[in-house]
Amino acid sequence: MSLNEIWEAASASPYAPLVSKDNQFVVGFSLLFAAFILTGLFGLNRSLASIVSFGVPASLAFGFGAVFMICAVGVYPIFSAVSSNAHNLYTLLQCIGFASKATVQITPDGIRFSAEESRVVQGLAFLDKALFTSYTFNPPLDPDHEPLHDESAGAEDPDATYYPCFMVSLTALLETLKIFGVNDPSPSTALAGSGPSNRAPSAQPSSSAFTAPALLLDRSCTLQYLQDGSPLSITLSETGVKTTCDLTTYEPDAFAADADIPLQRDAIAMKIIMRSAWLHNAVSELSGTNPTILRLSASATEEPYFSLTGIGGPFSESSVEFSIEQHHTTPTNTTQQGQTHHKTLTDDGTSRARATRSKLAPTVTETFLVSPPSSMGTRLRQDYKFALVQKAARAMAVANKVSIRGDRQGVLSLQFMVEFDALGVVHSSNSLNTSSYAATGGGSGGAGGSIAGGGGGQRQTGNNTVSFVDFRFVPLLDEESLEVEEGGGFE
Amino acid sequence: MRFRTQLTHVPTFSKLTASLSSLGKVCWMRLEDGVVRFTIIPDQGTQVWAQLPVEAIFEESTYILESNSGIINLEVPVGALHRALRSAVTATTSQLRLTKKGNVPLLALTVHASSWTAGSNAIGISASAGDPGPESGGSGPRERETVITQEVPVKVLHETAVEGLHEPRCRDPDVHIILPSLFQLKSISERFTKLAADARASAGSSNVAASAAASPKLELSANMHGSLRLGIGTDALSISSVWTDLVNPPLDPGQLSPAEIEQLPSERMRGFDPADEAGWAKVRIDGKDWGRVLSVGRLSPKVVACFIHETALVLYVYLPGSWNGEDSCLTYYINSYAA
Repeated sequence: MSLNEIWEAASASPYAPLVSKDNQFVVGFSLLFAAFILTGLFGLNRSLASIVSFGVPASLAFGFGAVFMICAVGVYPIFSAVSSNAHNLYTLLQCIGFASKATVQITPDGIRFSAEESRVVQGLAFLDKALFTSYTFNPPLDPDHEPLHDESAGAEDPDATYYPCFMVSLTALLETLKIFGVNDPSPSTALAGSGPSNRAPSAQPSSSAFTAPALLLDRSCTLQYLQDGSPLSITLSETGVKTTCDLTTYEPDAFAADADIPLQRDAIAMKIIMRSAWLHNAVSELSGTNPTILRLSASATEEPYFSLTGIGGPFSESSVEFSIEQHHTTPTNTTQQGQTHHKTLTDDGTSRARATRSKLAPTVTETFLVSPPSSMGTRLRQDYKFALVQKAARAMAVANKVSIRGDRQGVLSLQFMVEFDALGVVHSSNSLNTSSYAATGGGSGGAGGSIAGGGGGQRQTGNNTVSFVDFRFVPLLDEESLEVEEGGGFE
Repeated sequence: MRFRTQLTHVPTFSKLTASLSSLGKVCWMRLEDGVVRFTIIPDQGTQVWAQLPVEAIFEESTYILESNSGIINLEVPVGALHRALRSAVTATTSQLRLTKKGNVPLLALTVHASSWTAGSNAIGISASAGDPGPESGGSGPRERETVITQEVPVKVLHETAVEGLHEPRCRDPDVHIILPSLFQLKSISERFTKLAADARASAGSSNVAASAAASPKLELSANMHGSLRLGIGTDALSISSVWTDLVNPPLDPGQLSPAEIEQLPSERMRGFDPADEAGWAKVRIDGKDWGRVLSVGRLSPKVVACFIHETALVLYVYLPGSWNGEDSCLTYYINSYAA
């Protein structure tokens, strides 16, 4: 079930307290006042009858009045969540760690972090409330609207931002989360040591005796947002040490509310679901030639059915083709455009390609739907800036599956499914271990459908928790790409 | 003037020189009867005054020291000494002596190391050609002794040159506390420093020169109720870690009378409520310098930090095994920066 569906379903039964928050003060005050009068009357005439008529009501009025007053006057934090495993949060957030600041929106179902650059690439990570052991969210009173009205408005239009929305420094947030478990032996320190950018996909921590839940006891990570404008505070406690980080919250950009790059869900030209490791391999393979443009080409009828081509680097161009007929991938490096036969670049390249082929599981894609707009013929071709797509590399490395979607305007959406098992260890598909694939295969078949549902959702498959990270890219215009292509051709 | 000794605890000596070399290039080494002192006084940053009993690093029976005053003062390039000692860590025996080559005084470190040859190795045989009868058992692995002599040029300082140097004097500390694991403290401190540096770099490139000159300042504070707080604040965030349940070591009643102890500022600080901010003594220290100081953690010592509010931080680093002995102690003097 996608987030949108949950959201819409919840709108039918909004929670309304018996006495609304606005009226609590009045009710509490009048009850206390009544208690005061009744106590006075009881004091004038102390008899058995007056106990019943004045004393008991006075006690009751005082009791309830006091509770209502506390409710009305007391300050609740708008948002407070506790997680026992900050590493999960870190894994998800580092996927979008390409920008220095992130826009945060707190919703009843989870926290949404989005990062964007130059308004052409956007990353979105959704920390579902299932990732936390406790999750409390009290939507703040909006001075402009009635809260109930707001809730119904929010249900009708999911983009309405009456939930608190602010910006924080993402780099600082990530560094803070890394402090958690700083005493751990090698795995996490090695992780912290190797910078996020050059982290090898195979360096994912795997489950071992030393990451057992017993060692994670006595730890908690608390996120708290007290009230509008207050800092987002993160408290990490371990035995003996307690670290508190107050991240200054900034007003979001004027257009941050509708900053999402629009993906036309009703005009999807392409939808491909496959294991994220293959995409990661393909992109890292292409990055070797340092291209400037990534050309995505897909066709439902003719070969190559799906290929990624790097164009504009110093080494001409290279492409990775996924063949669906033979039910395995054939990443092949072609040297020159227009050559009919595939030529491998070097001995090294050949051996690598073969190694990859033998390791990859037989199915390339779980879903492969291509319906190019009529202007393009049978082949869908779209160019993206390679450096931007590479920003999603960390997500590709961590995720289990990816859903690649493109709409008629060319906007590319990569939706990554990140799976944590019960211990909070990432189920990285990058081990390319067939046995682990078989083990998670059952749950992931259904998860494919969830990916197709769209929107950042979250669900549980057995013991595993699934989270989604979304990326969206704006395509390069045709003229622009042609220019670069010609320039590259003449060099 | 003679100085000659066998080294005993080479790993300790090596780790000591490693942590000293991170703080300064030259070290004043003062050899006395029974005591060796190392002192580093950099132009800026942390001063170290270390005092070790001879037996902590040297073999007492072979320790020969002869000079007119009974004291030898040397100026040693501590980095070079550390590199020389690294080869001595695995040695069977190693000897340190003061010699002269031409007019240059040297500390000569002679290392006897033994290793096993890899077997029927042609190079191994040719290298040990001087040994008697190497050809007889040429095929099997054999033990081979290597003698390495490393010379570290030093300067001999006259007594008059060093008599003006003395340990910094400071008033009685407000708070004294035993620090938690230095490794943990170091990793968290480094992360904080990095956070602040990142925040500053992203704040704007206009004041790059200014930010390069001054590295971030950490705020370190402690109270007499076993709490230590490490914090840093920038525009984008303020972060602090608090350790609780640490030990405030009691003062030796043998040295001070109860009446004198009553007068100490630390007793006044103990009187404050744990929640009261007035009970915290605070210093501001340079993040990078602090990281270098904490590199002494590799000696796995016990460290008592003495906080002098807004003035200085004095660390007494006791090497393992000498907790009760006063004589083996490294003292770090760190100045507090103004806010």
